[in-house]
Amino acid sequence: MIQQLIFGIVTGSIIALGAIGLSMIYDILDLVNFAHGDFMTLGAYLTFLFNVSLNLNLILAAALGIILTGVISLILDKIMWKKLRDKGAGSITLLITAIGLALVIRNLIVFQWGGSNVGFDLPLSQNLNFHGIMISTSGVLTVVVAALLMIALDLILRKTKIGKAMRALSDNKNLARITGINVDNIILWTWGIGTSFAAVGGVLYGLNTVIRPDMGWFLLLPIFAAVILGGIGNPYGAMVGGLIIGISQEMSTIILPSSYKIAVSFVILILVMLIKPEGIFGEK
Amino acid sequence: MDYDNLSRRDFLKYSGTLGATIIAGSSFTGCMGGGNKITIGSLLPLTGNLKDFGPPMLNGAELAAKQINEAGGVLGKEIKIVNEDSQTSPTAGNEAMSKLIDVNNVPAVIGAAGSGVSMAVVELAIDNQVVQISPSNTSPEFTDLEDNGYYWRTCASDELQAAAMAKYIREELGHQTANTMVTNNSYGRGFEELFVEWFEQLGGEVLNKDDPVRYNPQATTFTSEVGSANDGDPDSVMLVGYPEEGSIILKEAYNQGVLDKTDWILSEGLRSDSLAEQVGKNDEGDYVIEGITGTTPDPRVAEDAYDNFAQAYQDEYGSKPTTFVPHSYDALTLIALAIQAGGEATGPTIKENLPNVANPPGTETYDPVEAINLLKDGEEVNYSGAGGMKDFDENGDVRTKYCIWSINEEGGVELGEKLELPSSL
Repeated sequence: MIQQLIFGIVTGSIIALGAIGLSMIYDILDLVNFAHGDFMTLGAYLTFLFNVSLNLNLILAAALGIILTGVISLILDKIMWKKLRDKGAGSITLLITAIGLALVIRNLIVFQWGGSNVGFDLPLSQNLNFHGIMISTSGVLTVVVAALLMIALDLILRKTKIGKAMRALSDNKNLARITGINVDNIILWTWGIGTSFAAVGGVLYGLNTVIRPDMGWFLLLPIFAAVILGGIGNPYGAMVGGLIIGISQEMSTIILPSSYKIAVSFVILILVMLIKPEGIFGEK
Repeated sequence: MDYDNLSRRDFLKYSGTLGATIIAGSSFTGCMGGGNKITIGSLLPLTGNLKDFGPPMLNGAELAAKQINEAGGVLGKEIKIVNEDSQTSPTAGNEAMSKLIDVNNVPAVIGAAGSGVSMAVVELAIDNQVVQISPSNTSPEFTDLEDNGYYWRTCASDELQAAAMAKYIREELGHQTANTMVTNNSYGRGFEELFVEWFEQLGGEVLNKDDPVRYNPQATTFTSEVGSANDGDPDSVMLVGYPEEGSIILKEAYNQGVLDKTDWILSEGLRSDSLAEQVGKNDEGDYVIEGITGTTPDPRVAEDAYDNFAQAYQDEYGSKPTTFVPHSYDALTLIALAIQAGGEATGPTIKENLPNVANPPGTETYDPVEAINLLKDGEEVNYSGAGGMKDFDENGDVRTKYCIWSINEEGGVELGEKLELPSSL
């Protein structure tokens, strides 16, 4: 029971890291970013590139990989998303573009690194065992990193000018513009934070399992569920939603066959939608 | 307020399309075969969980086509293979199969690799009178399938492997108890049910038979599954799956400290030279699954036929043939022989002539070129395959022998001693 809870918190932390960015990008840019999962994959592969192909220390490689993923999202905004926004592209156009981008990223990854699983250059280590309750070292790292990032995000949103501007923009776009907030600047910050969080999630996911080209794409469904569950556009909701999805998936294996564990999170999603359609942290 | 509600509804609507997009496959390749060519379809995975197996299997079929074409082709025509990526997905496989049948008008299809995908497309083959030959569907569910004679396979049913594995674990390793952990599809479930039956018949006990671990290969993590697979501290765990998710499971088993505590026995689906590398090394630099064993159809039963094929394969592609590659070589060869024997490239003709070219009477040979030439001279042929197949039975099944495989120090696969089947089989 406690064991499954711990497994669930690890899984939930990874989902939450992905969900935060998806939620923020939707909120600020009105973009349902289907490529978000593939940015997680890209973060893991770029880290793999620095770590294995260029023989860098894993922590340094992860830092470079995550920053580079964030930078790529900024470049994509400059050369693609901004142009679409300026032309007044509707949300369907943006959505289809994001699906296309997801396919491009994924196939470029297969093209460059092949379809087989790869792993970081790190010896495997056995789990820590506290009186029969196990947690892997990568699991501990996942939870700690995710918690630190969430605290950092909370501080950014509440204490910094950027964060306040983000919240203002999400509350009322027109009012925010009138008060002189530089929207383009905020959009770049949103991309940077959202995508690098996703990349961190991807690296941690790769550390816990393996790195494979469709890892992020398959993670996208639980991430969407987490965003909707927590309340769309609310980063705190995304964190809680991610943890609920992760924990419920693992806890369900106690009573249900494990092949149903993906379905369980969606049953919970439906139940929450029936009782509180706007999501746990959503506003009416 | 209204704005929020509207966009929220949009978000929900768009997330719905995610489900559809994930399932939907796309296929853009391929074109019609010309008048001087006979086009044969293949439905092998280049992506998805079986992507490690698809490309070499396609190579196996291509090699047979090349040898036959160089010897003058079939009915004076060249054989051309059009492959559609099954994506190891029943939905994508269905689209790809429809495309092969409707656009390429193929009389026969080699594939699919996985039993789950084959089960999803076999109706299409039967309805359109297209012969489907799989090199690698080992699910016992195909034996009794009502297929009007359109479904065949060149590998043996897992009914035999499950029995061989049960006997190996129970008698050779001397284990009293076992747990099962299988991928949740036709392959995994079929294997598991027969394994339980045989293991208990041999006097062993399957601890989790009432609550077997059947995992979803697309799950985010396998931590809980690996935990349940060790409930009750069994002597051994039998794992049936594919390298893509199997490597994650074995890595997790190492992390949880149960890889050494219990004896993990793997099915032939996990027999891959890259498995050890994908699982990883410990801090002393050794592969953590070194020494792990499994069961597999023994490619060496075909002896000369296999050696001959393996040499040609090595010359052509510069690598050793892997699991089920000789079986796809056999599948293409049999289709070509059936077309030559029947005089036309249609599904019903191929179906009628497959047993004629694979079973006695006739001159026994494992060489596709020799077989074609015998048929051209008006003689009968009894083809025995590089994958170990001798003859088809009335269900379109073949028999084979099994052996142990293990992971060696370099992380590669090594074939071990032959396994006996229980005497009642």
